[in-house]
Amino acid sequence: MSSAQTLFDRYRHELAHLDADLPPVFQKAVQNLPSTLAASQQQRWGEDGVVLARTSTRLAAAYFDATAHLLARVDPDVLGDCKELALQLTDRSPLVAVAFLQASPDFLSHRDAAALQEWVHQGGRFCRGSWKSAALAQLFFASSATLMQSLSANEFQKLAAVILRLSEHSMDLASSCLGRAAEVFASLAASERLDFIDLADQVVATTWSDAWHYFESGPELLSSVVKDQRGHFLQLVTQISAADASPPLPILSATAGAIAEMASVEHAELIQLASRLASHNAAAAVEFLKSVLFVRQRITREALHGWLARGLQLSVEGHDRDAVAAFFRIETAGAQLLLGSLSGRVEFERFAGRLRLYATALGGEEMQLQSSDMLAERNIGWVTKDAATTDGNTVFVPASIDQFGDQKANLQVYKVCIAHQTGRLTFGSFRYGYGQDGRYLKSTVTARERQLAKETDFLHSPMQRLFDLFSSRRLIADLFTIVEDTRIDACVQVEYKGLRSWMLRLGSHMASERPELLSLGLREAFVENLLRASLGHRETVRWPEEGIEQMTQAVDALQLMTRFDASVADSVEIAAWLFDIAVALPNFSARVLGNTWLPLPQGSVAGAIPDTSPRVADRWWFDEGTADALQQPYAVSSQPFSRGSFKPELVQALTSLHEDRDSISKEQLQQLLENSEEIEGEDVDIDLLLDHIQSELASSHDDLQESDDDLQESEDDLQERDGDLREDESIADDPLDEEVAATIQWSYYDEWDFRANDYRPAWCHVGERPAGEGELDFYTETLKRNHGLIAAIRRQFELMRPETFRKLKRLEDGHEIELDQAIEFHADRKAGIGPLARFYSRRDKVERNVAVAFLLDMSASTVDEIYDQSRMDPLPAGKRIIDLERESTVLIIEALEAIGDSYAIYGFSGQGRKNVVFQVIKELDQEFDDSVRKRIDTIEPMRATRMGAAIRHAQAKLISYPAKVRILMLVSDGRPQDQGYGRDRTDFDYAVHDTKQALVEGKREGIVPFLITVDKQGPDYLKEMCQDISYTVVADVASLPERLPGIYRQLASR
Amino acid sequence: MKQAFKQLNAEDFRITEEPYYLPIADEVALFESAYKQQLPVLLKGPTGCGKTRFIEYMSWRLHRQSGNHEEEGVPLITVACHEDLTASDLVGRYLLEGDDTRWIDGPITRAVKVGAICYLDEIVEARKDTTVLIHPLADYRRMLPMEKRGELIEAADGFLLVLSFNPGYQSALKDLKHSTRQRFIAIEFDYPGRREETAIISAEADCHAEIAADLAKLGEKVRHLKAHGLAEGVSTRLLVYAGKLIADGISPRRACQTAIAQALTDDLEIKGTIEEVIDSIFEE
Ligand SMILES: Nc1ncnc2c1ncn2[C@@H]1O[C@H](COP(=O)(O)OP(=O)(O)OP(=O)(O)O)[C@@H](O)[C@H]1O
Ligand SMILES: [Mg+2]
Repeated sequence: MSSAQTLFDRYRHELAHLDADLPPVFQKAVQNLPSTLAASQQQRWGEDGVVLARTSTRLAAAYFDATAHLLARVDPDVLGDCKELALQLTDRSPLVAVAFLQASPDFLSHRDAAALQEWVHQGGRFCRGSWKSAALAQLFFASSATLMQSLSANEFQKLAAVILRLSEHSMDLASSCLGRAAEVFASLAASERLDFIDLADQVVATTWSDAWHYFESGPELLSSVVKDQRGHFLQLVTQISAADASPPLPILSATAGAIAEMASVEHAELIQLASRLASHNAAAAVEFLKSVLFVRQRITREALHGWLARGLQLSVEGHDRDAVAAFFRIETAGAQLLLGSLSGRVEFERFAGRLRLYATALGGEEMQLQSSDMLAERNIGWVTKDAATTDGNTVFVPASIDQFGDQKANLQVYKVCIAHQTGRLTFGSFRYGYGQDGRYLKSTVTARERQLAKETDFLHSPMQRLFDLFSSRRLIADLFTIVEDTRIDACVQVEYKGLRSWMLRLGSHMASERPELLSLGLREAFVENLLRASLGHRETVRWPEEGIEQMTQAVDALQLMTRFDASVADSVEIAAWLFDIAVALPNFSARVLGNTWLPLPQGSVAGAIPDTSPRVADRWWFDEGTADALQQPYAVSSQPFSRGSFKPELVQALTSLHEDRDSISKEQLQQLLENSEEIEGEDVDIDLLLDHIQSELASSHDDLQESDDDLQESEDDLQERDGDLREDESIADDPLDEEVAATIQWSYYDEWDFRANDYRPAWCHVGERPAGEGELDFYTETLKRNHGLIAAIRRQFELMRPETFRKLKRLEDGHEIELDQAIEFHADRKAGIGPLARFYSRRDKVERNVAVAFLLDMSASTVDEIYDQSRMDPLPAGKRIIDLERESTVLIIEALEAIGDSYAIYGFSGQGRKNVVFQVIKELDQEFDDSVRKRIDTIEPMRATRMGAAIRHAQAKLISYPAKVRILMLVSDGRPQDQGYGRDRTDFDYAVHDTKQALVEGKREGIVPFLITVDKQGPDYLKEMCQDISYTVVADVASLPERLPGIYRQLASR
Repeated sequence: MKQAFKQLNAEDFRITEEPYYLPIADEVALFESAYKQQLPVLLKGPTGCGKTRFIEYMSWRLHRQSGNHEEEGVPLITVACHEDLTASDLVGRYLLEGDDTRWIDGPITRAVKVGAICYLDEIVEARKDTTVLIHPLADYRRMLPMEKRGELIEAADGFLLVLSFNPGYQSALKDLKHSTRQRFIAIEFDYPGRREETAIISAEADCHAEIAADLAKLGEKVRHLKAHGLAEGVSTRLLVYAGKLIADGISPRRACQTAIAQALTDDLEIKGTIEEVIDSIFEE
């Protein structure tokens, strides 16, 4: 104690002299000095304190404060070192020296004394004379210790270097980053820290201003990469950035975001692949990662290697760097093609033409095929977008299928879906008649009605009436779906044996994706078991030992459905029988009871007729009280996507709505929809839905009165517009316009009203005018672009020509003598019958005497672009139907010029009955010349399609032209449609009937009509419109120019 | 030297063995009635649906029924029409023989004389002026004017004029004149239903009944494509061909590809679709 007192007394005065506040600090430090400190050491320490105090009293205070802490960590000699270092720093800034002394004890608890020198050196370098730099240096010392908790010496040193480098650009930024650093590194794993610092260095080197953002968002971005790969990922980004000296932060955020979208198991592989690529082409590596999600949605993990290899190869082959990057951006045709070939995923749109034909073949001409999202969009009671289904007219299939790794297999899945859904139609899933007996089972409907003591509403569709008999609609609907789908699958397997192996494969796939039985309620598990068996996987059925017999019977009852001649009514009865069993099962989570769940024993043979006598167990194998207490609501079973949702009651209702709009009242429809399970779950606005359906299907419930009003209205509309037109004409002071107006020739045609079964006299005003002239370029361009095709077409058509240059035989005069005929003549003369000397022949141009008028639809809808992005080889962007019509015109003209038939080309459109626009591009008797070529350029989409009137006008022109054979070719893109061409906008019947009538009129006059449509919905109304008129649907619009000459050739050949 | 081929005069051609024909509707009764009352018949129908077979069968059947006829019975004389067919080709012509001439009867004349069924196949192919020649034969007159000989021959009792015609060709240039058409009763033929076609295929191709059923099914499906770019549905004839190939050991898929898909069309999309339907129906 005394020695301490002596020490204190020795320096007290001098210290007090320097600063009155110092002695107490000093005293405290003295008291805390460890007793082990030798007197000489104490002495030196005191002297050092005084020396420091002479420089700065605050420095001395800091020194005294730190002393005890320092001595607890290092040996006393180090105290002197600290003094020396502090003094060195004071030269730069006393405050920094203070900070050093304050931080030093903590520093030394992480590092040994040998590191001090370097540390001070580092800190000192921050000081560059400014106040800000001193502050940064202070911060450096103050935060060092915390940083050292997470950083190794080496890392720490590197970080310091980075901050220092940054500080050369901005002191503020450097201190912000440094301030943030501790937190950042604490959040990073040890293995990531060095990489993070390296990248930080890269950031500072390239775009120092991003540094703060990097510290701020880096860890967050990094967290989207799987843990053990973050270091590699950072290295990758550094590598990429270093290669091109490109800013790392955007690369980091783009690639991290891209990787985040990928399954974590793939991260390691992706990063590895990307860094392989980066060593060749850094920019490409970024593009690779950015598009990898898109790519992987289409191709397998294995195929991804092939994808990368191709890109690498491009690089190695010395392709332009940008070209390689474009490859990975999937902007090159090669990339798209390759992707297509590596991809297993099949998109409906891409194969729509083929699949539609397939559906037509299987289901008949009326069969329509669309992608399921269309159905969900229509919003008439179906909500699942990715499952197959049918609404009774149209089969819907998922927009894409990615079930298997290769396209071929996925296309087969489409086929299986189509076969199943068309099967529902062809094998009569919707043909259930209420109370109908099955082929094997008698109907129990009456018995059930009696039991219920109520009658079902006979206004309802049969299926709905049936469902009304059961206490749970969800349950009976589920059971019926499973049973009926079993039947359909069985039928399909018999009908299309070639699909069987695919159905089995898909069935296994689907069966492997079923929910865990034990996670379900007992009743749900019962239904689930039936579904598994129905998918052909009876062996995956499990059921509590005690009830196994009943489950076996239930599953085996499905066997009946494998009989090819079982009917939908049989399905109904099986479903009803299963319902009685299922509904008695409480839906509690059976896991609680801890029963042993066993597979089923060997079952009955396929096709066995089950005993469907009532079967409700009288004794349960579980405690009913417990079961009841644990009941949970029954959840609808999820159907495999290939079978999709099945709504027989809705389909029946829609079908009868189609047939007769009044067959179902609004209330009934509402009830029907409310009962539809999916909708119940989805909480759809019924009113909205009803509106939709009303406009979708019921088109107009309005009586004739209303429709007349409609007509009246549109007429008024027209009159108004007519007025406008007149005005337009009258104010036209531009002489050119007047001239145009003057060249319009009006003709008037009747229109057929099928409801009145009579014509509306002089109803349509058709204004004929020459088409405007555009540029010649289009024609010549098209010729150039298609010269190969045109050459082929010309050749084909010239082959028809020999007939036009046919040898005329049996002439009285000519160029050659026909031997056969001459002999015959000679013999005849000998026999004394003196026939005419008709044995000359002549090669002559015989008029084929065919006149054809092409009538092109120039309605607004032809503006539709046919470009669809799913195509791997997209057509030149922005190509429209009208462009194809134009192009077709060029080709057909070339063909017709080769054959020498007279032809006319007209276009039509217009709006309203009083303004049907009829443009003449070429007249029948007109020579083909440049003005025609120029007119083709002006074929452009206009407005509506009043087809009947345009047809009548074209026919009138044909009739007045002398020819033996007259042909009318109508090229259109959709159904006829115009203002007032029907009761309202949804009434297509009127327009269709009028068009048909117009064609029939022409036919009566000997004109051969032929319709070509590019409307995929074509078969719908064309069948109606063209009962004995030939037509064709060019499903692939893009092929129209190619197809048209062929169609004509077939039509007009002899 | 023995001739390797058999040569017959047309009017001596008789069908002595019963041709296989499966009646589809009431065509047999209709034809019998028409024959009895000497009403000319037009057989309408797509290619390969059994028109020729039907007429052969009827000729055999009528021959058998007319037991009272002496041996000749009802012969069948078939003329395949083409656009160079002249009146002389049908009626007959003089031939030079040394310094003399000799008259040779054409097929129609022979048929008229012996009372045969005269079957003009694909009548639309013939020139319109040739078609007019048959007009007097095809109404109540039943006369054949032989201009060159200045004669008129009345048809023998058993004579009947039968035309065949495929309305399916979408050619504007090929149609029958109304004055021709309206001299015939028209029996419409179409491809048989699935069940009948199965029977026909299995009988004709001598293949397994299940194969025949599958082929008939395929026929039905392919015909659905007619309005979608197929000019004609697949004919029974082609289905029979496929059946024959299969019966001979060719795999069903391959047989159908060659006999049906390739035979029907060159359009890639439709051909592809047909092949997919084939693959769906036949197992590998
Ligand atoms: N009802 C049928 N009974 C028996 N065989 C039939 C029947 N229908 C078609 N066939 C079979 O179809 C084949 C083709 O029939 P056929 O040659 O009679 O056709 P077609 O109608 O004359 O055709 P085309 O118009 O091309 O001459 C026959 O060889 C036969 O095998
Ligand atoms: Mg024939």
